[in-house]
Amino acid sequence: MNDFANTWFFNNEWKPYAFQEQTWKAIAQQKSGLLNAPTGFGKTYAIWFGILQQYYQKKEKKSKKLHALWISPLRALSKEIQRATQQVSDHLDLDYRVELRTGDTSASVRQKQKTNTPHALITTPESVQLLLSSKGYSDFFSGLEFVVVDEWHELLGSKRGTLVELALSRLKNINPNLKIWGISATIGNLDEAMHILLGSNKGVLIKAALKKKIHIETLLPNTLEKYPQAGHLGVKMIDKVFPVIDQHHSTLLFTNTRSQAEIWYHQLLEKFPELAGQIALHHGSLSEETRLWVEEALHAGRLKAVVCTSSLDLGVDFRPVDCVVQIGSPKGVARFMQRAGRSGHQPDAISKIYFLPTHSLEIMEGAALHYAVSHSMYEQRQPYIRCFDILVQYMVTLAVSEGFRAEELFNEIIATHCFGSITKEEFNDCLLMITQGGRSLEAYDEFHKVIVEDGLYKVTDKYIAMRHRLSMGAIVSDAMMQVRYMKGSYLGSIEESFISKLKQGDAFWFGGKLLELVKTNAMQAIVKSSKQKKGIVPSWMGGRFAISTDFATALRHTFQMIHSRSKDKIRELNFLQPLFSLQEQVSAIPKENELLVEYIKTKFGHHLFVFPFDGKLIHEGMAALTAFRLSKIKKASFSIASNEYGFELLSETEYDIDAAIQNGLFSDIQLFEDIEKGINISEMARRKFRDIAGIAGLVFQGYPGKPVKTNHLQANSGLFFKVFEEYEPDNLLLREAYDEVFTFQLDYARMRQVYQRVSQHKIILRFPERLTPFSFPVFAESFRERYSNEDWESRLEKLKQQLL
Amino acid sequence: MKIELNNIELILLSQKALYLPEYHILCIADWHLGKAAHLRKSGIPLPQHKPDPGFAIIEELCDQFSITKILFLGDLFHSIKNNEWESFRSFISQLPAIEFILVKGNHDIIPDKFFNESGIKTTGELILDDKLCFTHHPLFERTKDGFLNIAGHIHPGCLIEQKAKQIVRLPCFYYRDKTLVLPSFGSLTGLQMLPQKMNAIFYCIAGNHVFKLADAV
Repeated sequence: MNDFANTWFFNNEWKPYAFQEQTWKAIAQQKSGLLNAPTGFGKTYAIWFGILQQYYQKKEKKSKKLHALWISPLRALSKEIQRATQQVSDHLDLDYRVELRTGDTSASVRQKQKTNTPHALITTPESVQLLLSSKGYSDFFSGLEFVVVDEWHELLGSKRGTLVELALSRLKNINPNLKIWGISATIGNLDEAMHILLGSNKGVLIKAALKKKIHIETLLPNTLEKYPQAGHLGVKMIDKVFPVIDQHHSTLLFTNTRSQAEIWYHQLLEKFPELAGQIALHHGSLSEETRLWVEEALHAGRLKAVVCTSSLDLGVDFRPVDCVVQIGSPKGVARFMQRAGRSGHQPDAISKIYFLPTHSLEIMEGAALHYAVSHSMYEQRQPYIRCFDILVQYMVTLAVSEGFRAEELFNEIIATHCFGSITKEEFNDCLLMITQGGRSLEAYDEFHKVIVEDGLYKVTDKYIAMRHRLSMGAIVSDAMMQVRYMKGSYLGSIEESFISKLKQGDAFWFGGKLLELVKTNAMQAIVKSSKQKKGIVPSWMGGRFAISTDFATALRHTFQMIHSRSKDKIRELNFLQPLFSLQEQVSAIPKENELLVEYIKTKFGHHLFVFPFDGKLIHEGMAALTAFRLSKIKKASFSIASNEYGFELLSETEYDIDAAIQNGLFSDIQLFEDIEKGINISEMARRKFRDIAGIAGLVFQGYPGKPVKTNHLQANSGLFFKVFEEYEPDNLLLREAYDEVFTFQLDYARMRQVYQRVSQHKIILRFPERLTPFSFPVFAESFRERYSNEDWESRLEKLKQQLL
Repeated sequence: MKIELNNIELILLSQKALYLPEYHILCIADWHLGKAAHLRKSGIPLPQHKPDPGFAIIEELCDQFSITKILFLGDLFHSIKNNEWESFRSFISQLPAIEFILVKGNHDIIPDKFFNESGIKTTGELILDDKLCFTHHPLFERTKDGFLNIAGHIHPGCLIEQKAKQIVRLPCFYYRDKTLVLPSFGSLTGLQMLPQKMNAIFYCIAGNHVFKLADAV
């Protein structure tokens, strides 16, 4: 059926899987589609041989244009794909040339690719946008037949997915017969994922009916801490990890943050010096060189263990890895499964994953994971819609290269999922934003960005063009400083805000090394190895994940099992029994149809704790709403904290909580009105606006790696937010920030579900003397959010004596 | 709020300016005029509020006090000349009785001659009476004995923690080591939160009044 595949599989003595044959067939029939298959079963080949066959079966003279574009979310993955596919050409003696095009590709290679174009480019969403920002792109892409988007599930739930949608809309315009293929891991909304990717193209969804065997085990501590708190206390469990590393060939330890990874790495080495040289650290802030070294060593099986973050979540096969440890809550079922799949990469091998809880209540999540996995509760990835920040950026991207015509562009983007619902007026507002800096046209205004000549929108100022190219993309980060040794070798990058808090001579952990700050100049931090014993661990900014709604459901289910007789069978719940007993004794354990509320007085004020077990995101919304409803009774200001299990409102004012509950504190009546009017979401919106301002080109991040002075163009997003609120409240970007709060944080539909559920519940109100096993971790959360990671723990320990 | 430093009477104004009644001097730091226009010129669509609210504030203060001199303590303009320059010039020309002096700051890159032509003196620092020293960058420990340094540049802000873990951020006047730093006058400027050390005094601005930090807590 597919000659190339047949030869290749025969030579390797492999037998194709059914999904591979289905995909080859579908591609031969000129179809687009989405392929859903687990890693390690050859999904790259399933698509690649289809592409090769299409290329070589054409009778007409082969053009020297680009034939296929393969988009993947990670540079490391791009390299892997390039290696694998070029190997096919080499071994089968084909002239089909595959090259890389990522942020690491040098200017000379990029130039060469223009004149001597390869047949296929392996690239990232950002690099595709960069291609669209260079002159001659329409000619460059004019022979394109295939676009493949790898790990589409990963891109889908982010604005990087929107970048892909937009790029595809233009590429389809250039090549009406373009075929689009996506590759996705299992998520809850595969059909939707396919439709978003393909747009108007019809396609087939090919699912590999292969079940990966998976072994999940929760590592339990020796003793149970009854007043748990979140954080890196997990390192107390380090003794449990060593045997796991020891017993396996090669182990990946996933942490949720980069600082956690740093802490685990150096703690492991300190505790088990015999691991020196056999373990490594891998996270997104380390230099490319370091990361590559680690990846190579993993491939070669030279490492016993690697402590890593989501930087190793995706795609790349590390065959020697036979075990994974998840440190702390994985927050989502799909992510957990994906990480599990990093081990046992060979078909038929068992994926082995240990869950290491970082505080006692998190042990519950171990039980919830078993339940969620066995019930295939894979999360849906919620796509972004109406991203005006991305649209504004994209318009300028096209204006920088060949220019665009408004009508044509509108028709293209309106066909995408993201912008399907925008109006002509909104589109025109975006045009106004880039041509005259907003709606109001003032005399003497010198706004200068995109100009219109004969209906063609374009950028003529080369500085504007350069700044735009340097700030494209959907990932916004703080100003980063390069960390370098005195001799000049580059270690990685850290947020400027962290470095600026250090004094000369201060020691800090980075890349698993204890470093001492020698000096800072421009955007560089010069360091040397430190002889000190202690150092601080940088805390990188960056989103902390919240638990997914599906996982929250699994968690609530597990929770209900505390009351059932079957609990003895569940190891995790059994272990937690003493904590539950204490909670029962000082307060209560809610049943399935009950909502627990605790009202506690401490020296800080009056704490209201509510435990809906619905995940942090929903709790933030509920907390804000509850605060509003309370302040209608008596005006007060509240401090709000939340975790995955519940939320806290702290105020100086005392309330008659019982009466407030009677009067509908948790009722679903007037829910929308109260959310609309009551919640002060401007603070939430301000936080969302930070990224939006960066993406839309309002906040210039500076030149990466080039410490060029941009002082006079720097203004922080908070300032923009303030000014827009004051002078241009209907600004599209400002509205987008609010919309994102409503969609992702105060999800109306979800809030209604929760309130409908809760209003059926019996409310159990307790007035404990002190903080309880359930409330203490929520209280602790507010500390973590306010103090640096070194500080909060010791403060909390002191408070524990007083509060418990 | 009236305070006395180095035997000089000082009025800290909630309009983020300082008045010295004995000298009839009004001090204004870090206005960053033309910032919005500068960003707009570079293709960044920051809405521009015209006229700049600072003009009205200064007029109001001129009615309130018998001001003879206005001292800009640096960063008067955000960057190179733009359309805001003309607004500023016409504003200056409406106050012929007042002497204008610019103590230059790091942002003041508009050549001196333009200021001088408009009747504004420019200088690096200004010394008065052997006890007052006006600069853009605060001198702190480097302030000479017997002097009070009045400066700008750092846009001081104060983070106030109240009960029940409430936090507010306020612009403030900041005093330590014989140096009084003014809040930034411009409406498009940020705040730098300063650590509350033992030897520092914060005079915070909340709405239309000024208070010393210790009084609030």
